[in-house]
Amino acid sequence: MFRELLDPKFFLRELEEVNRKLVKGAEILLSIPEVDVEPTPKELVYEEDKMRLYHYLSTGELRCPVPILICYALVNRQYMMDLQSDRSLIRNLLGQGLDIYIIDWGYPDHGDRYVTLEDYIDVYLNDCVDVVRERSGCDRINLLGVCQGGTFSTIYAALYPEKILNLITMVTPIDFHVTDGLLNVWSQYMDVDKMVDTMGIIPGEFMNVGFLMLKPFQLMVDKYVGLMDNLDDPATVANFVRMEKWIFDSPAQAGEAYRQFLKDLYQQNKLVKGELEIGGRRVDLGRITMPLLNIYATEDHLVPPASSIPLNDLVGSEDKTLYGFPGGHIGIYVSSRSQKELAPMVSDWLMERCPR
Amino acid sequence: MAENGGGWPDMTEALKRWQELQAEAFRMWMEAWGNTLSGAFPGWRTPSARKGEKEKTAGEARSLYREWTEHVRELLTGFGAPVTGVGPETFLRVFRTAEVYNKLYSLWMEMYEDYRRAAGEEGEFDLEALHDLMEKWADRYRELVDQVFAPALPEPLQWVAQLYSGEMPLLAGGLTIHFWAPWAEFARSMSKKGLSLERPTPEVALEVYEEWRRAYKESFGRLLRMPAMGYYREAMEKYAKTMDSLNEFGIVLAEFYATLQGTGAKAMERLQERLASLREEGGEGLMSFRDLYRLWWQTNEDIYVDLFRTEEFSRLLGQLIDKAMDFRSNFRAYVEEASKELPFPNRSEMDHLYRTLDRLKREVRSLKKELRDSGIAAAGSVGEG
Repeated sequence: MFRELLDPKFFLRELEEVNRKLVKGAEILLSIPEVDVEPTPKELVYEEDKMRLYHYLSTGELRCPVPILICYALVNRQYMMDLQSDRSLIRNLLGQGLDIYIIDWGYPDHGDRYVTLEDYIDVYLNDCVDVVRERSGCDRINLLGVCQGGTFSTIYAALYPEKILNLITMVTPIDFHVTDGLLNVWSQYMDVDKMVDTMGIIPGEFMNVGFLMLKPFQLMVDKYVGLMDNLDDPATVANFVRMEKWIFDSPAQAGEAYRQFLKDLYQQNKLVKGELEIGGRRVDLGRITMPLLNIYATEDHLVPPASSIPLNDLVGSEDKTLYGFPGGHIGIYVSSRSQKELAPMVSDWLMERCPR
Repeated sequence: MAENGGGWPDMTEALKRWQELQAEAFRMWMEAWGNTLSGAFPGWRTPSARKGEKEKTAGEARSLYREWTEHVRELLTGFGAPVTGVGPETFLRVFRTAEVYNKLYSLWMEMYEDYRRAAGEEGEFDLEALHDLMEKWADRYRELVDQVFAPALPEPLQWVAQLYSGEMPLLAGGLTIHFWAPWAEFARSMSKKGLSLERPTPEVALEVYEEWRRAYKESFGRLLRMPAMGYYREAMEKYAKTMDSLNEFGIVLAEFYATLQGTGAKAMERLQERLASLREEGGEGLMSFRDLYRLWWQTNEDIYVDLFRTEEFSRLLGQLIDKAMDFRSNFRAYVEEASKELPFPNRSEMDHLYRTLDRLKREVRSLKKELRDSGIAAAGSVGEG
């Protein structure tokens, strides 16, 4: 027991090995030209204020004529879904013959402090849906929402059910009062009005501190110690740096939208209670009657499964599927298991519901 | 390679530095774990003990956290700050703030000990002796406050620490008693409660800081809230409010750190328990330093997540953010007041502009929709016709 601790030779060998890796790793880090993400080609088809709508270019055969619009969260960047060519849910879905659009919310600055939740859902998201409908010639399209974007998509589907053919939610918070999630607990004690009135927009760095505190030792210590083990492998280092870029590439949050999201959802759980109002209209989840695929990650520390699962009981859909992916909030997009299982599962589910 | 424009030090030098720090880190780990293990393995001797130094006790292993923060701070200093406001500098500020906590704590400990001696077991004291003690404290406080508060202030405002450490007229003459009375009350209250800080717990620390806050509010806090006069009245008043809110923030931050540090000690105890239970169970157990490291971080993770889950921690976090917001908004008001003659718009003026722009955008959007709808309606009526 504790052989390495008790034997200095072991210790020195480990030290030598670490230093050797460190020098090699420094060479690798210095030779990485640029952190490249989002390898899949796409074209800009619409923009409004800071929001942009992109259409992925696919050379393969289109197996479903109804396009999917992906609505990502505001708190991180959408390229998590297309991080690198061998870890790309987008590329995989394209390979399955799907037609994909994605919304890039951009980086809000102080000029966006008055942008509201209503603007995001009734204006930006709705305009994107209309653009995709018009371009595709489909009255109803498929909507895939991720994390907070899943909450937006759910709200949207309840307000505009006539425009959505199938709804897919991934790692989406719905019930904000489950105590499994630390963010749910902490938010109860925050004076959100004061935060928004003071800061105007909520800095991404502020949000990141909260996310890091969810697993402080794993995310701030062990992750980097783990890197040391593979510092001499260029591919591993490049992957690590890409992920690191994504984690800390965090847009600020438009103040008014943040205020309503935190107060109405995190603090008062109005979506589940049927009390949420967007643009003067009540959001009734019972109005979601289109087929629903609700995907959660069994090890999710940001959006606990208990927060996502209740959606299936709240919607009015008869055709609804609940799918638990074995992994975490991020692993659901980048793990090798995800590449092998998730994209085919989503694609199969959609194909079964795709009009021919 | 010379230092580039971004502020990175020479890479070779940085690597050399890294290696030295690496060695130092391992030495520190060996020492700390040796101390930890001595609890579970009486035969264990730390490297320094083997060299004939005085053997350390298992209790000293609790200093690991402090040594670790020191080490990381040193390490980050060695690598410089590539971009102002982010990266290593951010961490440096965090660790510097941890020092503030430690210094405040030491200051209080000294004051408490002195007062306990002067006040006696029953908490009753002689006014003459108290006056002498106050004079002594005033000097020590002036010295310490400079060390404590100055590094915590934003760099452009570090001269502000002089407000306390310089020759304040209020600290002379009869007003001294008035000014220090809350601190006397603070010490008396602590003495009455018989709090022992030989082994501080988060609960005790929180109680101490609550009393500390009360004393502050009645002394320095009152000074800062005193109405200003003269030509610079507005700026002075905003400035005083800024400082007051910064101190309020500092007090809650100290509570926050007290909670985190108390938990760190608990984690170390839990780790010792786990090590002891592994030893009792026999078998393979931990086979390498990496196993031990894994057990260490996982134990810490569990303990801290348990803490973060508590209502007390959530409330404290909420208070911390609240006080930070107070400081931020007061600081902004002061900066805007002080810079109003400068040839650029301030945040409030820009916010006003943004608000106007936002209203106009909404109006245009609504008018466009009306036009579109009326067009559709008109087309519909033509079609019907």
